[in-house]
Amino acid sequence: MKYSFIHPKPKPSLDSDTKILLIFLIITIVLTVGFTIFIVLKKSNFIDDADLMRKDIAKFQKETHIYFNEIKRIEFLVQKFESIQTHNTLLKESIQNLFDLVPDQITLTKAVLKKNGLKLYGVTPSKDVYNYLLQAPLKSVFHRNVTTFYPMKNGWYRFVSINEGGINTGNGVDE
Amino acid sequence: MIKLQRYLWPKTLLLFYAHGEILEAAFGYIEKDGVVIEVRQTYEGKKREQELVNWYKEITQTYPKTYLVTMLDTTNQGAIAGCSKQDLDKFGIRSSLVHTICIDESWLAYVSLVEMKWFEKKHKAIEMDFIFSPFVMMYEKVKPNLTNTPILAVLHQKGVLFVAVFSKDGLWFSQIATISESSLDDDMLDDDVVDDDDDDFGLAFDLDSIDTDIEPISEVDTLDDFKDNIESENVEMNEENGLELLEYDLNFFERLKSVIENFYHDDQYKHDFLEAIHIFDIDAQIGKDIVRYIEDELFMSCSLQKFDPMESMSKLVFNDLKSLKKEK
Repeated sequence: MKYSFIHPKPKPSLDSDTKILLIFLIITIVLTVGFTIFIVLKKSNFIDDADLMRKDIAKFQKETHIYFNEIKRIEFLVQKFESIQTHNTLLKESIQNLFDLVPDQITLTKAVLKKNGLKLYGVTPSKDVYNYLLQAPLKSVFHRNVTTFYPMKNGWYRFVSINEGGINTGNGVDE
Repeated sequence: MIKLQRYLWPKTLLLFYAHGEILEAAFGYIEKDGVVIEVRQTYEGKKREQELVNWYKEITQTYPKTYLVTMLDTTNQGAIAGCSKQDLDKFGIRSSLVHTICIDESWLAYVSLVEMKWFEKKHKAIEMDFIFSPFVMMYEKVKPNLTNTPILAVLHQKGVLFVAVFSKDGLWFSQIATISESSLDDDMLDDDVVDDDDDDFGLAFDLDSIDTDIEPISEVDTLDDFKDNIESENVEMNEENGLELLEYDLNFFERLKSVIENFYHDDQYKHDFLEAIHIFDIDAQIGKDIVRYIEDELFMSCSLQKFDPMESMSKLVFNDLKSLKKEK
């Protein structure tokens, strides 16, 4: 039963103090929720970053191993190169010495330098010239010397001298 | 949740009514079983309206669900039997010019729309939630004791009488009568709408339809005994004040008598003998001897009770809110 001439106006539910409190409460909740979301996202990012970093570390470790092996290989090659260079220098000097050993009377037609020996082909005016002028120095260098003479029509001799057990020569690179 | 809401955001009331140059106001809580009035304030002086507005604003800051309630104390209002447009036409009231409220589907209280606007303009600083007619307030007071025999109910507020005849069937008759010119609101007197020559009715209905036959006070012979009694019991009272009160009581009786005559003589109303008068006095201005005098002169049983508009309005608001809640 209605008794009033007019209807009551709609009333606000909250007073000013409660409104302020609610606004602060809502702000606090929003900030807390926002901060929580931020922390969760950051945590997720950190986990992803950690995974990426772990993968990078594994990759870098693998690459380090590869580079380490490569360095070892290069070091070995350098060592080998130095060794070959040394041997080659020695060989060069040996060849130089060898050609210095050959007297002017004797003409070499072929020289085969092997790892453990030297084979010489040539022409000598006489066996004595060969024996005195070339055989003697060769004997001082090689342990074993075998020389075979073939007479030529003009009275000279072709010779084949096989010398073994002398100087070592490098002729290749083993990796 | 409801308990929490009631604890945190209680519904409250600010009730007020104008009482001559004074504004009476009260603040109360709407509880589960009714309204509990906590504070009463009286505002006087020129700034009384502003002081009331300030108090209302102060209250609404703490209690946003505060309903503003008042009693419509204007004279351009009334009540008639029946709730239809035809009933309004019967009393010469144009329905387009009045604001009405139907009570118990048997009678309606009305107020002139112009006067309603004037009232709202007067209190424009605050938004009213409930405006009650004095007739409705009277009805709420007498309703529990109503029988098939009609009774005359009178609500007296410093210079104004709200008179109505009620029975179990509802309202039979109503009239507003003024006792002295000073009781009228100055603003009302300045308003062009109100006719100064006629202090009983406003513009909402035809004045010719009501036949008033009021005898001058000087011609009433039956008042001699009453005068003697009043004088003998108030010997210590200031002579001037005593005479003023006596004159007021005599005017009150005279106006009441004319209203009763109006009820008996006007064929528009249902007729029956009135056996009882219940006078509800808002400001306790009526002397107690008037009861005996009415009983002696009019041969009717009479009772005089102090009337607290705050309590009455509280009950009506509580009922209105309850019915609004049911409607929802």
